[in-house]
Amino acid sequence: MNGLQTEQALREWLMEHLSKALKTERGRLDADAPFARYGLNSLDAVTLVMDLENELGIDLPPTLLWDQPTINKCAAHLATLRTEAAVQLDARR
Amino acid sequence: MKAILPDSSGLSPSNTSAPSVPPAELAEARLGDPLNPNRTMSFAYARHIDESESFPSDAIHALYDHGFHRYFVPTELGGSFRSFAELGELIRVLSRRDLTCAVAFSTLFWSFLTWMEGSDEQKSFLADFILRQEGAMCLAYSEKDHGSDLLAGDTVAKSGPDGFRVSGEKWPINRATISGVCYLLATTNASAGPRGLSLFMLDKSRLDKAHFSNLPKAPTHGLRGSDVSGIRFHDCLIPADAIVGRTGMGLEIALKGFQVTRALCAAFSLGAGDTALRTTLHFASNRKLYHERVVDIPHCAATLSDAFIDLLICDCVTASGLRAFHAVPEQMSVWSAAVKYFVPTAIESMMQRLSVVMGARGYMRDEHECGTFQRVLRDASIVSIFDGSTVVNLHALVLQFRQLARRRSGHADHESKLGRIFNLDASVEAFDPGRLSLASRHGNEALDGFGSTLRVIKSRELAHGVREQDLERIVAFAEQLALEIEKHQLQFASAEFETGHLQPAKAFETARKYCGLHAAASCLHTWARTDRHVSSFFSSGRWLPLAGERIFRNYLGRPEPEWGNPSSLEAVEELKRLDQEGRMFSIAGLRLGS
Repeated sequence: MNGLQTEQALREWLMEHLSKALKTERGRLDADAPFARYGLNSLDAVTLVMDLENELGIDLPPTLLWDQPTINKCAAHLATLRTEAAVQLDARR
Repeated sequence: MKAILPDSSGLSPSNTSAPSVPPAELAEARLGDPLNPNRTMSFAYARHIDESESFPSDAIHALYDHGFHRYFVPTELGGSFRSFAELGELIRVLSRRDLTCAVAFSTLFWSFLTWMEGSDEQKSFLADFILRQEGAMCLAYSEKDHGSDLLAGDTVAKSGPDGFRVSGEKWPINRATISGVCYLLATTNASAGPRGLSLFMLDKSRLDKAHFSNLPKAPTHGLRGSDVSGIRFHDCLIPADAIVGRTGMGLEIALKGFQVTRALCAAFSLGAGDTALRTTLHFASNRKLYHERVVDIPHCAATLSDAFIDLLICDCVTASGLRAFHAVPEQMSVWSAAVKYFVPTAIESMMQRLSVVMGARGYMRDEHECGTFQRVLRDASIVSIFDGSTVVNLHALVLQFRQLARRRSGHADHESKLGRIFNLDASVEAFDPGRLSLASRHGNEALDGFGSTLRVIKSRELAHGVREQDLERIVAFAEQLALEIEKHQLQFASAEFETGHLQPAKAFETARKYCGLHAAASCLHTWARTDRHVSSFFSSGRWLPLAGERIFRNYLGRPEPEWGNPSSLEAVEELKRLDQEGRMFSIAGLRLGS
């Protein structure tokens, strides 16, 4: 999670990752629109969380995107997990 | 004769070790030979309910009288459920007699929704309802216009001061009418996406009959005696305490519940497959054509052998798949989908091939053993469709490919996990539903741990009647499989993310291969790790090269195995022996009721 220290950085990263995963131009993503608008169904959302876990190096609840259904909500939520995650990462090293 | 498992059977709830009499064996002893028309769930009875399209109330009542409902209720709640493998064996024994009864009775497996996520009060109510009131339940998820698209449902539950007001219609629902409890999935927040659904456990006796009604029985191709109907709610008040888990958890609970029931569905197919093969064997053994008994005509013998091998493969997949609930519940999103795809489809196509041996007799509703073949063919064809269709299960695997390719699970504890899953002699741990996950972060032990079993097989000394030539073939099969697994892991790793239901058709073919790899690995793991409680034919491993050949040909596009083509005659001889001795066509060769 190095480099992803702020909510803003997390949002940017999330936009980048989702635009790739969803094959959608970044400019077309609305950070306040529900993921479902981009054709992401409930199980897609679960597997996308698994991708996020791998990128971020932390365990996340599989239903994260169900509970935080927009980019902004997800970024804000991940930011609150940031400190804890950083501690976990340090502990793993 | 209610609730009857005598203490002497060794099945008292406090006994958590393997029971001295497994429930499947007990059920065989109590239900006897289905060819005897005087027995409960005889083939004659199955014909009667099929032809009259009448619900098998008296047979189901008898199953409760025998105490088989207890195996659906956990021991801590007064029942006898300890192991999904044990429950699956019981369902197989019921299913080999009649699928209509078995499926109608086994809607009891929906009770796991409550055992997994219900409140203490809900658990206590449901245990009492099942154990003392012959309680049964239905699962009201599907809607006429939306099929498996659960989030698109139109049934709404509006929260109010006195509970929820429900309106909507669920169809087609097995036992929608003939059941006292209804699990209802309804929208509680239309704008909350996957968190918009909630699950309710409704005690129908507490609802105002003026506000709900049933839709008529739908005539069906098979399971014709079933109560496949529907339920309609119109501004029906349901108490707030009917909600299972919390508001908005409906989809999550439903998906985890499916992991349980989808794997158990394989037992329906195994029972049906045993009967289809047995009735065909009887026909082929007694019929003479061109001065030969049909069973001795090479093409027919090969068909019978293939069918038997398919049953053994499916038995390995099912037994380990059900044991995995206890050993690796966090992987069940993968295992359950693989089992539910593989077993019903393999057995349905096996039956289609057997129909060639049966000829015209297999098409007649009253000939040869009460027209059992055509009935079981019709009845079993629903198993790959209900409770998550073939496509739904393959799709669930496609979505997990990238994760599976990462193989996060450590390698250190493969041996321990493999032993707990595939050693059918080992007792199982208590099932912990809290470890079920919507997607597996821990890969799939059957494939990730295959290297461990390959080493075991390669270092295996000749024992248990294993012939040198067979062992060489088994090692070759295992080595080829290891290469195939490696090759496909690379394919999974490069799988691109596709959203929704737009996955390319090729991805489904890859998922099918994945299930083939899982099945082949399950066979080798099970053989390598189980010693006792197996037939001598199983432990000899003679069936394994044949099993490998079938899986490589049908799932991996490899028609000619490099380990040579073993003769199928021994399999047919074993089949005849098992039938003459009154044993199931299975790994253990369970003694059948007489």
